Amino acid sequence: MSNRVPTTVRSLGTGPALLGLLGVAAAAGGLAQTGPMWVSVGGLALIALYLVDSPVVTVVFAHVALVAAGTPSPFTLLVVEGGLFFVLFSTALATPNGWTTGFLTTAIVPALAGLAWLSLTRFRLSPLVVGATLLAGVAVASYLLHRYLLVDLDVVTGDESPDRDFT
Amino acid sequence: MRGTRRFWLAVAATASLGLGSAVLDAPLLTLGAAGLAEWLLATQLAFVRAVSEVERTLTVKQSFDRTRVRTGVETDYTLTVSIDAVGEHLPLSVEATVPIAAQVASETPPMVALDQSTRSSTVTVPVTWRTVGEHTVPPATVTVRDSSGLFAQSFPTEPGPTVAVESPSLGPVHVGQSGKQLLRGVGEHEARGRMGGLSAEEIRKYVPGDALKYVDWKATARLNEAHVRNYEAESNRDVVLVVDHRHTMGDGPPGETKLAHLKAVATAFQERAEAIQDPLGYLTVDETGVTGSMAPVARADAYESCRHRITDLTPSSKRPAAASEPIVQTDAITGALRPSASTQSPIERTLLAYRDATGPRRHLPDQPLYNGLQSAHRGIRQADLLVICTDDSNPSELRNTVGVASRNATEVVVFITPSVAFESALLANLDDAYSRYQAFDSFRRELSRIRGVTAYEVGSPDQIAALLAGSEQTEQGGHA
Repeated sequence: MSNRVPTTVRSLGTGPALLGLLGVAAAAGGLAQTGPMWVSVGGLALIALYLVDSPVVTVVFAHVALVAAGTPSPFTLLVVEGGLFFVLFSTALATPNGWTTGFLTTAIVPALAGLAWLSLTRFRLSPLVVGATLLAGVAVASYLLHRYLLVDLDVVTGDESPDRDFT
Repeated sequence: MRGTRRFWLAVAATASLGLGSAVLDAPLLTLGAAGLAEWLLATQLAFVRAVSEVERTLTVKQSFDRTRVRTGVETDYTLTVSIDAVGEHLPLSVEATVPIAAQVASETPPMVALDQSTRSSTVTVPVTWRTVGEHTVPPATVTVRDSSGLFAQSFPTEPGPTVAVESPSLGPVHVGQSGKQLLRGVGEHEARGRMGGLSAEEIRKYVPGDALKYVDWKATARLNEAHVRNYEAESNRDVVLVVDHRHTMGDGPPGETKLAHLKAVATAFQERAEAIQDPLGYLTVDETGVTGSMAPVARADAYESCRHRITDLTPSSKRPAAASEPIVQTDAITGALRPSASTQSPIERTLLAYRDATGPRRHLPDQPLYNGLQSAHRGIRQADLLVICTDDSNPSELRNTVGVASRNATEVVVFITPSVAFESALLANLDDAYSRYQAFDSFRRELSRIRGVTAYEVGSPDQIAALLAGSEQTEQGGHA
């Protein structure tokens, strides 16, 4: 069994792909605005990463580049984050149930990311606390969704009787 | 639900961003981690909804072409998957699990895959059953995948059909005429032998034509109505079983071949003869000629020998030589042309039959059944009851054989397995099969018209019923 993660070159012939390309181009442009020349090269790498169908790596790379480039202006930050949001949104739209996934992405990602940003900037919470809380919350929600699906599909029953009988 | 490798890589990347934000005290990395984590959660939520939708609209049907089979017999297993979704759906695959008692020709289990836009698909694979019993096909496993390659979820369907697998022993045997089952037991016969007396059988009402000497006056006086007493001759008569076991007798499913059916008939005669102590003999024939013979004897060891001989018979593996040799042969002694049996005109057949009956015994090429009976011991040929068990693959030879038998034996009973009833593709074209069955039945009736000869068809009741169903279809088609 191969351990290699399959990668494909993204086709740009669809609406969601073009939207994603627009988003990654905006993010790359925002990065280029931060100043250093090498960040512009990083912006090109960002586009390349998007084209090889790695939205997650694109987002990770863009944030690492943002931190490495120094403190961006609010406008630059908005452009980069907005562009990266469109990358994730376009990936959601490309699925068969694209509108549902896109709607959920639009509803959840800005709301919770905004909450995290407020916690960091307004309430001055430690990034460790915010990150850990956020990841723990998402993990719990993810596990609940997993259990819900198992019950919904009758893979496990909702009213499972106890396997031990105390007398 | 399980995360794929891609999902866990995304989780690792998100966690790395979170860890980096803590180490470097960089809120921007926290923002990135938050965005990715929430995107994963949104994608998962959408996947859960989509899988529930797939589960509601998916139909998986597992079926076999037959629900009752014999071991070693191949059946077709069909897996049909259809989805009634609006628009595109998540890509999915359905993998069936064949029961452990069955064997699939391919190494991989039967599987159907539906991509995002495919609505239905079917796969059919041949399955061979190995173990006797009732086997239920386990539920198939549906696996739905997220199109972005992050999640997968498997769930079972309803169990498949139940198949009854039986041992390859022979089931009920149809013995009859023109599709009608013979009511009297196989092997039973009226006594018409050369020796023996009379035994009272039953009393019945007198009907015009009954001889006065059979009127039972006591019963008539008691019942106040004329009654006669039936008598049945008691006799010992020689019975000879002529069994053909050429390679064509191996036609049919394993355990239900032509020979298996005819062996059941021959065994019934053997048991009947043993029960009433009729002298019993046999003659077995394959492509090479006579493979065994025994003149009629009424001894325990003879009955046992006959039973063993019948039981041990197997269809020969030798195929007949190709019909490349010329049909017309020159008689070396007389110099006259002697046409083969298949090209004989009725007049030639009649004249040759007379010549065979009166002149020296002649052997016909490629007619071992005829030659075997022709050259058999006199006690075999001139039995009181000659039972011929064969098929209809060589009608002219059978016609000749029955001709010889009827001229020598007192009574001839012919059991013929119609080849059309032993073909695996019988149900494919019932009209054609029925027309061939009609031709067979016409031939059987032709044999029955010979004096002292009775011909029966032998086969599987199911197959004969299927052939007769073809007749009903034909009639309905005619009426329409």
